[in-house]
Amino acid sequence: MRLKNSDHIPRSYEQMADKDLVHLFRRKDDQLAFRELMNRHQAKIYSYIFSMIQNRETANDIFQETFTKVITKMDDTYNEQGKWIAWVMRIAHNATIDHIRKQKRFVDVKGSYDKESKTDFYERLPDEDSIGQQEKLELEESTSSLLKHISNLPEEQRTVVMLRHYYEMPFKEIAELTDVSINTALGRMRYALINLRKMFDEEHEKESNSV
Amino acid sequence: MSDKNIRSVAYLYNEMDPSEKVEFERDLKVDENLLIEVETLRKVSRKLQDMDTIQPPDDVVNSVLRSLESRKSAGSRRSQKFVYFSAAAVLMLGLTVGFILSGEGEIDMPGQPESESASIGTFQNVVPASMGNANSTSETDKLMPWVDHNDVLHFRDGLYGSDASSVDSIFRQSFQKLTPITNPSQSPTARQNLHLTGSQR
Repeated sequence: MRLKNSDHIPRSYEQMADKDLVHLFRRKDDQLAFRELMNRHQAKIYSYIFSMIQNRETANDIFQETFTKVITKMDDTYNEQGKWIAWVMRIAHNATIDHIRKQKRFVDVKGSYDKESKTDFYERLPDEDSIGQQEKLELEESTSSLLKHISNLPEEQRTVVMLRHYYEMPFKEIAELTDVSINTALGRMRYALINLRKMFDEEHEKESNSV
Repeated sequence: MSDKNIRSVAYLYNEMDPSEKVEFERDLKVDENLLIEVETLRKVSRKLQDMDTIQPPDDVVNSVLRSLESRKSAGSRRSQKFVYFSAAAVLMLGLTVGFILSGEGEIDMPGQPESESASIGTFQNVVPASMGNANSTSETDKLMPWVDHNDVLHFRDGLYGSDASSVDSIFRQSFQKLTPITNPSQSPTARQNLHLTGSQR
């Protein structure tokens, strides 16, 4: 699916390479060029963020944050040397990882009785099962089984799979982006493929049992 | 994780040098387990090729496009400001140059050599109204133009304070110490000894 107002984008833009569109946007402030770039890559970028975060609202925020940064930084930070999409993916990846790290770091340490809510620390702990169920429902509604399986992979493996299969990013770049050695990136990919195979087998087994 | 396992992924995703690839394919022919591993991984990897994508909601895309629009208007505001500041800078530069050029030639001291009248011209430009009053007094009427050894009169900004009368008196006292030069080109020692400075001592 393309942007709603993609009808206004001339056909010639669709045939242009990313780097030419980027050049048009940067030098001539051609907004149609940027819209075409968005048309091409928005689904993959959003899918990457969503598969990593597994929450639609947060994915929306991070997607918006990513493109706002892209728009503001394209004039000064981007040097047109590497692939534009790899640069955008780096921004999306960093925003996603920042969010995941913040989530991991967030712990409510206030153990005392809260007068306002009239509850203690343990009562205020979120019900993890209910959150899990809600997110699972969200995923089931909006994604294919393949994407669901990928979202069940550990974060490191998921990142490698998404970057490789959505963006055909070389393992060298994946290693740089995720700040690991190339062998670690290759190893994570291998484990991801093995884990996915197990998930496919289990799914297949379930289906055959139900029949 | 063994090197073979990592190599199997590198081979699968075509991330090997041609020489490494040849070597790995040779290994595949003799190592059945390695062949099974590669084919299993290949099967899963092929499934991933069919991975679909999720479109972002329209309102999110539209808000990004709105920020794109606002960037454009901010950019045009920036360029407008740039034009205004450039015009102001050119105007200021023009006024300054005009002021300097109009100042030149105002002084026309009869009987003075060209080099001296030029230095006196500078003197006239920098001296404020209070100094002009000093020039109109009887002492200054007697005063002949003089120059130092560099053909320049030196004044300090400290002289031009708000107290005009005290400045005038300092100048008058200073002028009394001066010796008129009758023939500037023939008295280099006298020129070296005469300096009009801004010191109040």
